[in-house]
Amino acid sequence: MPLPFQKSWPAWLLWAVLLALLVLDWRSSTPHRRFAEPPPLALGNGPAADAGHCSLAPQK
Amino acid sequence: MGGALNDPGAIASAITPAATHRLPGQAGVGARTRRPFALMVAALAGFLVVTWLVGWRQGLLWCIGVGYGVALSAAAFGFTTGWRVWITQRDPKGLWAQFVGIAVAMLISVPFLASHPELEGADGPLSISLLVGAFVFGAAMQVADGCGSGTLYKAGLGHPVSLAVLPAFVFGSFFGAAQLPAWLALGALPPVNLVQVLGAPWTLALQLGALALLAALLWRFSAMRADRAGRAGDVAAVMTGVHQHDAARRPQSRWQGKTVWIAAIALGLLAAANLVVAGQPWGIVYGLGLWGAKIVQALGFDLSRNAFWGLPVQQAQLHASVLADNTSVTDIGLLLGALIAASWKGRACPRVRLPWRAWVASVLAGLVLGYSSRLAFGCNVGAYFSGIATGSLHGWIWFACAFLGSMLGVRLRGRLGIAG
Repeated sequence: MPLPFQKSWPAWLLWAVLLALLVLDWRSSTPHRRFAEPPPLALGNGPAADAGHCSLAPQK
Repeated sequence: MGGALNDPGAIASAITPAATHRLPGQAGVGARTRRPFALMVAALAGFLVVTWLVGWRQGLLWCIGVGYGVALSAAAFGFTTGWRVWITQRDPKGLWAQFVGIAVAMLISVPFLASHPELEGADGPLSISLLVGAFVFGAAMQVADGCGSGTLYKAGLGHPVSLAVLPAFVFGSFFGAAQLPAWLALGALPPVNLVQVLGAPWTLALQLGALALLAALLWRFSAMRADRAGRAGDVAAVMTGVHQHDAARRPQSRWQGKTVWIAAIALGLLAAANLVVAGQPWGIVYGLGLWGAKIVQALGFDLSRNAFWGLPVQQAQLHASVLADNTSVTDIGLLLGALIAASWKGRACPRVRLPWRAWVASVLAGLVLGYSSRLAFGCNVGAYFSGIATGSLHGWIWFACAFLGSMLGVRLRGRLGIAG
């Protein structure tokens, strides 16, 4: 009887790589200022100042 | 839409869901319900971790991302497939479902955009790069058999081809963004948002009318094809003496049942929630390009002098965690949501048998997908779905150019031996 891992290894591989990259990224990034975070909703407050989106043209 | 992955003519020839290879007695219900439960716990843990580390806004966006993945994967909601089955079989249901999703998102987003100027639509410039990028993206998404959302959700559920395409997509997006300023120098007009030009009521009337007209045209062409098939069937019946009922002659839609409609409405609602929470519409490829830029930077390359990644706002993103980026958080949530829904339905990690040149073509197409989506200011999600839903003219132009590209891409699939 095949183990679940044998059937689902592609998904495990993706998440192993993704989680490893996330941890490395978190450790090497500028520390996040938790108490300077924006309000939960942008409605009434606006998006984060450095929020990126694929439709945005590069702006200086 | 359980029929999508069970369609014998389409995917099953190349893909065999692992779940269909269970041995007798090994199965089914226990495994199918245990694993999604563990994955749902993982999704909840992800929400708690993201909220704890970065904040409530990112935590909510994580939940929205998981919702995207569940909706896309449960219904096999494919922009690419919807266009292809229309081009090849005149089956309009996939495109209709896309229009429903866009309409739902539009009905909520446009009034919000009109009354809350702090919210941003997906307003891309009307540039030469938009025309080129959208056309090339449309062709490449047929070769790779996945657009932005399709590649992401299929990678999330463990589809080997999409897992191979995703890294190429990431680096393609990075390169496309890096060269975007040079492409913009070829010529561009400022973005046009219909909400700002016409106001909310006229934008809704114009855009919903356009979608309804397109839907009616799709139905008309579909009916004309069915009539032709019917007449051919009548001739064949006279010659062979074998008669079929009308229903048997009519080709079955790839999407059966209500699931695709539920998914379309869910995607529309989630896209509107995305706008309310993030202040900007649903997008995919900016996040992927950022991942590529971070990897390149981690390998020791200095991006501070690049015309795009060297901009102060991009440098800030590059030095912050990806968990602080709206698009990245919804992308990662989407990957997990897709796995949850696929595991629930026993469709996770399908087995794939393709010729080697199809693998090579898919990976190359992934690179082109990423590159062209940045030139076009979005993929099927950021430009087509979110662009139209938030009243951006570039969304309509993207749709027209990418659809023409898809017509070429469908022919390329035949040349590459992956038409089935």
